[in-house]
Amino acid sequence: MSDREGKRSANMKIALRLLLVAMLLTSVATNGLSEDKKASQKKIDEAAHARGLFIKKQADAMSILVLKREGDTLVPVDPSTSFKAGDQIKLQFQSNFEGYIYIVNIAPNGKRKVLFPYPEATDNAVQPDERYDLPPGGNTIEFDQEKGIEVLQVIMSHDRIPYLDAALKDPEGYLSDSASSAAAELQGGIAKKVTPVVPQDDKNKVRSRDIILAAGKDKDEKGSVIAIPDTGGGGRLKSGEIAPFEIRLKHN
Amino acid sequence: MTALLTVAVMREPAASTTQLAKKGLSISPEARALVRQAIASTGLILVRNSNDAPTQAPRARGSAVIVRSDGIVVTNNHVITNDRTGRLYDEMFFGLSRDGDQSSASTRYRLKPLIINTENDLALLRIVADYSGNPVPKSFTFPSIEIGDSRKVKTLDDLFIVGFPEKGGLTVTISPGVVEGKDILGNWIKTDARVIHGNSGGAAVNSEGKLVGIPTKVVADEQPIDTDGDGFPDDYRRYGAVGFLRPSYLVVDMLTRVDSKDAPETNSAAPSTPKIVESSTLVAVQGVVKSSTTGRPIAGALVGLLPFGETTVSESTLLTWGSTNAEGEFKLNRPVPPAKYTIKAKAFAHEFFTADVELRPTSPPLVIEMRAASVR
Repeated sequence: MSDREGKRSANMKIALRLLLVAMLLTSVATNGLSEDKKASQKKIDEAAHARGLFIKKQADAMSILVLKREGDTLVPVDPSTSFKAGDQIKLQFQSNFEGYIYIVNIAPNGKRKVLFPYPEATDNAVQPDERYDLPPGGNTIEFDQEKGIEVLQVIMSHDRIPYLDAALKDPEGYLSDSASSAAAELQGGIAKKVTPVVPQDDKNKVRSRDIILAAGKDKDEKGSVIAIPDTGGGGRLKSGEIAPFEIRLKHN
Repeated sequence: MTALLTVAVMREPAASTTQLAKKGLSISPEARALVRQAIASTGLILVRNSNDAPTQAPRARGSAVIVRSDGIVVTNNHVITNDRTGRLYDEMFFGLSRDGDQSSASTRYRLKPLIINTENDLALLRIVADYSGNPVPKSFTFPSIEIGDSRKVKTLDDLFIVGFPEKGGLTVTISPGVVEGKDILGNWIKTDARVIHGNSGGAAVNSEGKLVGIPTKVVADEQPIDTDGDGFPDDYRRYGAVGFLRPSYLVVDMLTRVDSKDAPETNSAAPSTPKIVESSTLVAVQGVVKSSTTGRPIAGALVGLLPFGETTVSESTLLTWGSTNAEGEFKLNRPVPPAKYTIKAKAFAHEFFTADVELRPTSPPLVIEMRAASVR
């Protein structure tokens, strides 16, 4: 993968690093889409519920938007879009709470790399209603010739996640690149503290063990919204908890 | 005596008398008694070639230890292999005495190779006849050593090398030391106990007198010394040496093959071809991680392999590791010898996974099913 925009930006180095990660946006890692109309309607309701939680700040939530370069502009694209070599994308995300966001790329070979934060922007603390671009400025992420599915793992938390922060020591941001870092991750307690967030419907029934990631409307026409359900902790992430979700990028 | 001549990589004794005295101080009388029991199972390997002159006595080559009471003996492959031809010696003998004295009361037996593991430099042989060629009765019980669990050996555990080093004369020699380290992937236990020519193929026992390793080689740190200043080394100075033992679990693996069709029938003293095994062929560790509830693949899970039974994850215990791709597939970053291991996996929003696995070259890809973390 290369950076066509990097030459125009002072942040070229950042972009170059980020562009090492090929991304194909295929689908959002929620429940599989049902072809049944009833299920489809249910999903729409769920999406509306999620957006409501996000907008009204009734739950710790974030929106994420995938933009694709079309000529000189960036336009929102459907997550199920198939990308090809040379396509360029940018991620825009916005949180409705004060906390931390991590974005990890999982390559087709399983290699993991922290995209956000990155060495030039080590502070990944996010503020409510503030929009963040990845990569920043005029930079974009470009698909290279390698085909396959890449995953963007987005992690929300109120706390820093030490082993993800530690990846910044690696110039390329790779995770578990050494025995010491892999051991630190395997023995770390983060997984034990994870409480998966379960979307619930109006009747408070568990419908999925996954975080809901619903298609956006209004301004983010083709973007996505992630929401924490209004359960248990009141839709708020507690200290030590994280909420991960995935965006799968398909490159044909 | 005929010189003991193994091909272990060493040049001279390493440890000083002072060091050895210090090593022996911490051994309890009970432990000493248990270690001494290993003497009865440890013997001397002697060899001959069929074209040797009739008057030529068998030559001592190294040590060996009885690992099964029906007369199965383990030693190093290099002990029974001719250095120049690379072929096994035509005749192999095992000298055994209850007190470890080969000069007087020892009994010599004829050996037949059963299984040879060239990669790990190990060989199993069976005692088939007395020195004259008379078959040993099947009912005869040899003093065998108990095999300990080499995987449980830890750094700084007491260790004793029992054997017949070339410089030790015709009586058994025991050298105390400690486990200095383990090279799991290389299949080695490292020790500071003195291992020299002739110790090869003998016994390395723990403080319970159980066999935990087979002394196989020594790596010495030797630096050249140019005494006359002509730019060419005139001598070498030795700064230290590390003894390398093959862990005893490899012997256990080989023993399991003895009763299988892998090993040739050996009840007679007639020559036979030993089974050459490659039990140490490395295994590529791969598989898939998926949700136990949904069956869907888990991307980004970190999978790590530890020594069997190991509970602590650290830089030194983590043997190999890797993470899953979008399809939940993983391939750990380096292959491992076939053996039992403890595997661990970690993924966001899932409970920590740990299990014991036995990896073989023929093992199918691993399937790790992780449970979603409990819902609050």
